[in-house]
Amino acid sequence: MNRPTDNVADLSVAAPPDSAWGDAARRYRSVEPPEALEATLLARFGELRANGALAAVTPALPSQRPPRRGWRGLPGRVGGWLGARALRPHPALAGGLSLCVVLAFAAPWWLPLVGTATEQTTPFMLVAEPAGGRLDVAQMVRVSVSREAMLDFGIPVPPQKLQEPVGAEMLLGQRGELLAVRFIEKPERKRLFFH
Amino acid sequence: MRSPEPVDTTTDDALLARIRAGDAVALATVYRRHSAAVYRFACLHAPSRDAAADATQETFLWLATQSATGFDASRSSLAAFLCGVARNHALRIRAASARFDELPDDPPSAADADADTVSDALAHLLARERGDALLAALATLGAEHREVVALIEFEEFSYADAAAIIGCPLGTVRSRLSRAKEALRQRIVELFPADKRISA
Repeated sequence: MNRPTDNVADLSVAAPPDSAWGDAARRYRSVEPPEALEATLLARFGELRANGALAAVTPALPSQRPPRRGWRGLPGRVGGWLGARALRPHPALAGGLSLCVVLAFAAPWWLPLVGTATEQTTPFMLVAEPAGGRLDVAQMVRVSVSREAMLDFGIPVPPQKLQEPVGAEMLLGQRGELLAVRFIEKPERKRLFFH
Repeated sequence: MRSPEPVDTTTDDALLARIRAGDAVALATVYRRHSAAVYRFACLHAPSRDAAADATQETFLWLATQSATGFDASRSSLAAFLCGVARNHALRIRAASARFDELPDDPPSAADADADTVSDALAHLLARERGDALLAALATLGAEHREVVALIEFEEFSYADAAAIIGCPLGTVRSRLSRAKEALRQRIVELFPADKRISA
């Protein structure tokens, strides 16, 4: 054992004798990972390298930015003049503000205020369970499909509209398998002018 | 006569830099150095041996694909760091699998209920060694006690490394180890009342 003597842990109990500990430790350390695991790991590593996933996460070297000129550099210069970070908000505050801006545009709550109709969606309908019973990575794909596909999910479609396109959001698993789908009905554009 | 395999003396830091540059040989070297300890530790927390292997693989892939892993060689060894990462992966897998657990066909017996706290993976790994009172008793301990015994007594990590892996203060590791040893002694007496050699 390469650890220092611990009076608190070692003196408090009647521990099993060293021979038992040594034997148990040898048996415990005899357990090895499956032999195929290394090959699988290296294969996945090779896939990531081929896909450029490794290069994408390689930290970029800090570059020397040229000093800003003109009006765009004004806030920084004013901040410097003030000797404080008056015009450079705290990162948490800047992050919060950015999140508010993103959410405001991602979920346009203001659309009903200006009378614009939003799109209608069906609930997500399960197509298949994720492989292995768990879902670690997934991606959402928005496509346009024929309305005929809605019949497979029990959604009634008038016969004359069977060939019309309808929006659909598909949830794909790690291997690209279809897990769930929902249909999106886009609002009809109001005609501003009549011909 | 087969010549002995040359020992790679490259430091873990240098290997990490090569891994991030896409060097698969460096990844294989790091894997061969630390995978056994990482896998064994994942077995303590994962619901099955397959899940422990998954956690081990995810740990090394995570190491290879993260530009900033937070690893600091001055604070802990790479093996200890990887064990901490594997612990998180294994616990995440356990939590995910728990949501999809199927109901048992038969009502669980009292023995099954008692075995809920036993790691299935560890119990399977140690099934061959049931004759060994110490390991059998270890498998019945709670996860927090099992891991300190495995880390400090079996893997021979320092107390500081064990605290870094588990994510708790040094004093907590010491007190858990103390309680684990006491619990081990009691379990051994319960399981093998005739075995005076170990329980003494």
